[in-house]
Amino acid sequence: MKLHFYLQPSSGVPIYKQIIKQIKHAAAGGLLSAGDQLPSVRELSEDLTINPNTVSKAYQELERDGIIEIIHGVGTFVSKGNIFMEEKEKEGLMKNAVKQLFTEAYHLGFSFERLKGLFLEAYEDAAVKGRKGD
Amino acid sequence: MVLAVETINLTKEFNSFKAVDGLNLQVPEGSVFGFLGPNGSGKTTTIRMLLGITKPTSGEGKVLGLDIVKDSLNIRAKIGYMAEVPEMYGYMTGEELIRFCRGFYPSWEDGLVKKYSELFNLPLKNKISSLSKGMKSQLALIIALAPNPSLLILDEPTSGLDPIKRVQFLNIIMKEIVGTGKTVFFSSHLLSDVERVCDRVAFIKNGRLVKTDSMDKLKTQEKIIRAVFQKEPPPGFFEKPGIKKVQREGNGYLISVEDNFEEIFEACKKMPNFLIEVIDQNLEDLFVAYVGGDNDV
Repeated sequence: MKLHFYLQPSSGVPIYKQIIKQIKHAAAGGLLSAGDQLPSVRELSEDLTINPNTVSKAYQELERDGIIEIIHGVGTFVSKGNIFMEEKEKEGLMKNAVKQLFTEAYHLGFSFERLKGLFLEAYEDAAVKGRKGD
Repeated sequence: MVLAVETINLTKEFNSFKAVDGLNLQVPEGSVFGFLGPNGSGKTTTIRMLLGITKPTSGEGKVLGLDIVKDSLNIRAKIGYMAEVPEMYGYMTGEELIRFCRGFYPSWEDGLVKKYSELFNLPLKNKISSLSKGMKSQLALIIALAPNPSLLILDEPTSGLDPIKRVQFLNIIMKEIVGTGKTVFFSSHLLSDVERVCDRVAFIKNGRLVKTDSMDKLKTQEKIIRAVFQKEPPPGFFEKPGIKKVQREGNGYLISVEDNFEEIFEACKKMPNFLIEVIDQNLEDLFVAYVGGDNDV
């Protein structure tokens, strides 16, 4: 399967970290399966018009973390074995999202009670949709 | 770290005007190096000194280990160069100009000329005066790449190209030069291009180096923290290495950080606060912060 990468070159996250994150999430979320081939450094750098050094850096770190395997002369593959996001990492992502919510609420001058109301409303909504989807 | 370009206190004066003023640059081999600064900040003068077209008033420089004053001819045979406004003989055809240039380069490869002119679909039989700006840039790039140089110096290379040609142009440079371990040194005002492709950047202003660092470090360290504390932070709280500026914003603060970001951010979070947020800085923000401002020429 061919993963569609998207980059935000002007974000505060270095480009190699953006690539790492996308591959990690795709692997953890089941979009990529073990043994899937990833584009070569050359291909990906051309697809995204970025420096090949940047792609190499991302691939090296992913290999160190056991997410991908680079077989020289053959290609780059998603590792066999289970890839899962660590609980701590999941929590970190969620924490950021929650923090953003509070920041936004502060700027808009929302009281905690009003925010809580919206939060529960959205939660109910999602729960109903979730049940329908079953 | 092997350096492809190094300058030590490089200075160029025109009468009493210092166009380049004690410049210390280090460009690692194999990197893509963005040389950034406002108009008239000394970028082109620096590049001309590196090429030996202009002699420095004082200081020294090395390109591929060769002295820019003593070994200038040697340097020019080994590097590819594309000028900001490629001035080419309009009465010649592309083919004639290519034939004219190849004589200067011992390492010239006709195969590369063929490859790139086909890729660009460039009409080499036409007179240069009849070519569009973009075509002229492409012709200049072909000539810069044909000697298979280990260092490519480009002065505003993509400014005359449409977005599609620009991507094509950058991809060729990435693939052919960087992909094979060679170095690219280029000046540009198209900061979105620089942000995509550069490993390192240097900002210059009034001929002086203001800041040089790796792109990844700039991205992770250069940020602004917006904080509204519950009570005034203790005196000296903002005197931490890495904080470059603190401004008041209503009842809060805008803290500009250039280094030790994680540490400073943790310290701010520890203070009882109503609000803490991080504002990322893109290259354009940094450009304005470092080289913008009032004393512009």
